[in-house]
Amino acid sequence: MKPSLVKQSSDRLLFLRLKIKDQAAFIQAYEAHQADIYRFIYFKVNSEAEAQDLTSTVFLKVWSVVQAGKLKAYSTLKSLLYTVARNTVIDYYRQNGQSGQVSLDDETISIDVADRRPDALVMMEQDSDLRIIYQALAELKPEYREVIIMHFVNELSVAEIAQITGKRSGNIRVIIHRGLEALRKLAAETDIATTSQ
Amino acid sequence: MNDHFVSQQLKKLRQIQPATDWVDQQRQVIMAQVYNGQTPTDQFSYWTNLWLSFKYAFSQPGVVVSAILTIVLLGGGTTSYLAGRHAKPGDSLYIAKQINERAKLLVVSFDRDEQNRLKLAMASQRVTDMSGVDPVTNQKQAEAISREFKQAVSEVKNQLVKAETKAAAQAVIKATKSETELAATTSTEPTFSVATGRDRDDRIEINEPIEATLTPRQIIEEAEQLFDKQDYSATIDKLQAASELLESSK
Repeated sequence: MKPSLVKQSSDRLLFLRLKIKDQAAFIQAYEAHQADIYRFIYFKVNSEAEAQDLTSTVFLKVWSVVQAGKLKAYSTLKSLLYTVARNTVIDYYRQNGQSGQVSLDDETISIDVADRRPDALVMMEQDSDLRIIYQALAELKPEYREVIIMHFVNELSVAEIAQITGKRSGNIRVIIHRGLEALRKLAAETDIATTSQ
Repeated sequence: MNDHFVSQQLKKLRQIQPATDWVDQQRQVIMAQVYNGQTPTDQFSYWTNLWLSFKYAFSQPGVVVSAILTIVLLGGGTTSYLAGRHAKPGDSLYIAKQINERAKLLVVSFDRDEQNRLKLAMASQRVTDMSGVDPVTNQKQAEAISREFKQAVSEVKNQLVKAETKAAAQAVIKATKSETELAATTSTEPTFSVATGRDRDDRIEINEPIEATLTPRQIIEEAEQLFDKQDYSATIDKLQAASELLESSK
């Protein structure tokens, strides 16, 4: 799953423009990546409102990084956006942990399928297979879920995921393989449970 | 449920998108933050963007390799062409000149006349080269130039012989065909009396003197003879005349 050459070039050019603090480039980056970042966060927090707030925070943090001229620490626009997004979610869980709320990245907690997003709910109702996968995804180990979402849903390449997570490409491939296998098993179990009910 | 099916289902999850009104509202917030309440303007000029695109393009390994290859090929080709332009047989850069000449011949490989004219031009060049070489002190080079000249004109002559043979064969076929057609209408054919110099209708036949014209092949043969006599200026003139004749007969 390799991003298209045009998209890669466009991202690379946007990143270069961000290095010279181009405001218009930042707006373009927002337009191009807000949906992916929102989705990435949404699968981590399972709340539309929280995902919206955190996505907004991510882009404002990214702008402050751009303004501070600290882009040298990142090699691509995606690695910048996803790294900030991951750290923002970690901060969110730290704060929620202090306030007594639970993290969905805890393996024992699963995503509530009866989601509050009406369009997501409609989508699940119309497609039973998708509903099963969605349920299984919620029960998946957080480490697997994160990589599966980045690779199969947000269509990031193995190399890009490796950059974002700080792991080697080989490790990412193993995680993808194991994650997909675990997801398939969980989906099969969920399917049996749903049929027997 | 296999891996492919699972990955296909996962792709469907891309449909999860933030609400459009929230995206629009958020854009306003971000723009206010980025532009600090000012009206958005084009901060960077066209040239800055062009420079960034250029910088980006040359940060790609593929582009850099292609650019280097192009420079090496074009630069190397041009340098060797310029350096070898005045090289003579036996010189180290003469091979570049030969490659250039062969390349030119290859370009016109489908046009025999053009190829012949190009070979005559090459032969003329050899004559010019020869005029600048002292055959006593530089015998080997003179021999090499002479060989090249002979080869070029010989190739042209062979081509012309082939063309003449073909034309003659076509003329014979045409003449046979005309005779057959004429045989059918012999009754009205006017006969000419050698004694009176008049035909049946009392018309006098006048033979106009025909000016003897040389064929390109004959002119080339004359050029060869002039070359052997070391009359290089006249050789070039003859080759030029042959080339013009070939051009006019196209």
